[in-house]
Amino acid sequence: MKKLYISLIALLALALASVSGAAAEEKALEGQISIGGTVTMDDIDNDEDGAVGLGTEYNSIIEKNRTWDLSGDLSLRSSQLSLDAEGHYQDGDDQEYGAAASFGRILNYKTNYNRFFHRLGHDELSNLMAHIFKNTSGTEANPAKPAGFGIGSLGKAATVGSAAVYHTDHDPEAEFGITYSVWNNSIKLNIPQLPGVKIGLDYRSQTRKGCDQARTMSKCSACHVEAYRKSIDESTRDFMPKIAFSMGALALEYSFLHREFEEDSSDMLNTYNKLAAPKHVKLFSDRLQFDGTNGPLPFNRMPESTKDTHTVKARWDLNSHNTVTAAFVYSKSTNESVDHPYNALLGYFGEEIELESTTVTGKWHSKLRKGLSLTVHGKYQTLDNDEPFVDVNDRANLTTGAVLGDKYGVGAGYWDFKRKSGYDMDITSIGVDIAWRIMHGLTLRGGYEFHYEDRDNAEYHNVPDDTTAHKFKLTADYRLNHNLRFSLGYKLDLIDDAYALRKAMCTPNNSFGAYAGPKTDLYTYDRSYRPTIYEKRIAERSNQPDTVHELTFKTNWSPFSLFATNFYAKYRYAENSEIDGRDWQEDLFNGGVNLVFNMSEKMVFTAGYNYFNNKTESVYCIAIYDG
Amino acid sequence: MDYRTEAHTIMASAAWNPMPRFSFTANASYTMGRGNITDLEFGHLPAFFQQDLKIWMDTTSVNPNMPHLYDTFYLNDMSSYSNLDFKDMEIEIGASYALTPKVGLGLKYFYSDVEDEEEYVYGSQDVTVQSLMGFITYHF
Repeated sequence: MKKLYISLIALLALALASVSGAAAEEKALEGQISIGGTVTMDDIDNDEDGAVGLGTEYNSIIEKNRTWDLSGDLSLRSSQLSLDAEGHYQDGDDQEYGAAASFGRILNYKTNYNRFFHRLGHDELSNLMAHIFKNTSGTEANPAKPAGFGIGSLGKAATVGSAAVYHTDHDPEAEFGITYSVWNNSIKLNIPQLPGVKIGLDYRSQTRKGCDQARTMSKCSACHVEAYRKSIDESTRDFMPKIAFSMGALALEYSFLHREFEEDSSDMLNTYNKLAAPKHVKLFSDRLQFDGTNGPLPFNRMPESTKDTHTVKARWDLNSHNTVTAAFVYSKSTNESVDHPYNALLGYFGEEIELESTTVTGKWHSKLRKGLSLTVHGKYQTLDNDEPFVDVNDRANLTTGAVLGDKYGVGAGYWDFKRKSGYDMDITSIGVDIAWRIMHGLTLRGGYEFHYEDRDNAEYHNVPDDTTAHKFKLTADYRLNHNLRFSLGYKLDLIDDAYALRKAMCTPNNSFGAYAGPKTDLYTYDRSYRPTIYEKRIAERSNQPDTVHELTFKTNWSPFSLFATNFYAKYRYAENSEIDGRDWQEDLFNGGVNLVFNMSEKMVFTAGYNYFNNKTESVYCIAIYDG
Repeated sequence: MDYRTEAHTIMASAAWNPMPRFSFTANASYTMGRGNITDLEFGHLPAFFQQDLKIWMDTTSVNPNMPHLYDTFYLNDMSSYSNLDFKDMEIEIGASYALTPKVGLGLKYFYSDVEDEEEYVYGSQDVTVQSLMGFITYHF
């Protein structure tokens, strides 16, 4: 595909060159070509194996030692053609091209292509080795069973245990990275016979190719985390025709976006550990969805999808002081990967999953009088997801042959459900902004916005039914003279029922619940897990604020013509005191200074300093699970 | 618990044309970043959890300092595990010389050094890279 793109660009350049030849007598061509090469003196493969430092994360050439460096640009002007083009080739994974052409101002074409390499880290998983009981009896290939184990094979040699975590990196030497490329195209046609009509077509192609680390984990044995090398091959294509119409004070535009996401990456399969519940393996055998007895199973899949979006925009200049703009957007996203044999395991079953979104926005801007303007804006958005049916796998008990539902008298299929999306919601916002030039050099800007989110399925996700926010902002810009300017701003957000998890942790004072086990039977979960873990999770926690204060300050100072400097600072304090337990808090400061010194016509010096400090205070609750 | 991130970044650049045919540029930046967890204070679990050893297991390989499977006190060690401490210095120096009004020569030197003082799950991120680029430019 890359060759196709480059070929198309080359053909376009040739076509443009032939057109320019027709008007050769008027052409004005200028530009430059640069040919060079780069030698990299350190090779991270030799002395810094697999490292992904800040300076090399996007550097594609450091492992290749010697690369070409080709670049150029040209500008062509004639009575019928205007062309600007530029390009830079440093490596197969580092290319950038762009062009803009206008044919008699009737047909305008813009294109750009960018390709770069993103080096990714390799999680060595070495931290995932906690409390494992190595079997010290027997051999690694044939471990003896520790006393008390009532099962034969655990699926993995010498790795037994219950509340333990361990890892297997199946490709420990692999290096990961993704080559990202994007090609943008835009054609606009102005029809001379229809001066108010413009027709356009945008096309965008984006690809991600390379390899990444895919991880998955066994459960109800040990927490066995396994990592594999996964090849990545993803492409996204956008087609967007559009038409714009303007007549007098009215302007309308309609566009239709069709997006296709295609995925041809590796199909990842993993054979999970077999169920390992000493002495109780048969009791647990009907409570699992799958384990090692099911053989290789898929993981780390990305479904293919499409998205169609209709957009209508309108602008109406009521008079020289008043303008109204409005927009309507309807989009539908569809999951196309619904015909896979593992549908139930992947969370959907039998039918396509669709997400619909409808958005209406409006804005009225009015210049009330000289130096005073008012803007009123509003937005309404509704999100509606399908409710896919999830078919829970009813496995037969190894002893009785019955499914778990039979044990409780509810039969098979009792735990099947329709997924209620947490994204189904209605969002409404309305606000007003005022800009007032009080006196020469001093302008005040203020605003208020009311924001309301109403969640349809909050009860299924233990989150607030709705969230209400009041947002205030005030800014003062003061220009003392041509050399000195100040800007001071303040924002205040007051939020009721910020997004939170209603059953996030145990009692607010962090005390532990009464514990009835394990004296008689450790696996009687009515006595232990339910009262001790699940039912004690009654406290609400969140990392979203209910109050935000933000103060900003900027100044620009140019004491003389050859010297300019600016200073900026932002302080943000956010907290949430509506939640249970200790408040959640965030303190953020960011500030810096820049200066530019034109020491002479032949010498320019710039310098800058930035300081960033962010501190968050949270409460963590670690649930206790007997895996 | 508190999580704090802090970064200092200093940058400077200069452009100098000592004569019509010769130009010189230099850019340098230095970043020092830190992140750490403080006040991570998990207490010992109540006695009933400490008694909840899988007593039928072979525990001879268990770290004697961490004898209890479920004691959250030992999670306090993760406060240092996720620390962040790095220094990143980058220098770029370039020079160009016009042989003729249409033909020029150029040279660029790039140096990048990252010191990772606190390894995370991706291992040490220490990298030192130097590269030298030469080029010839034709103007038309």
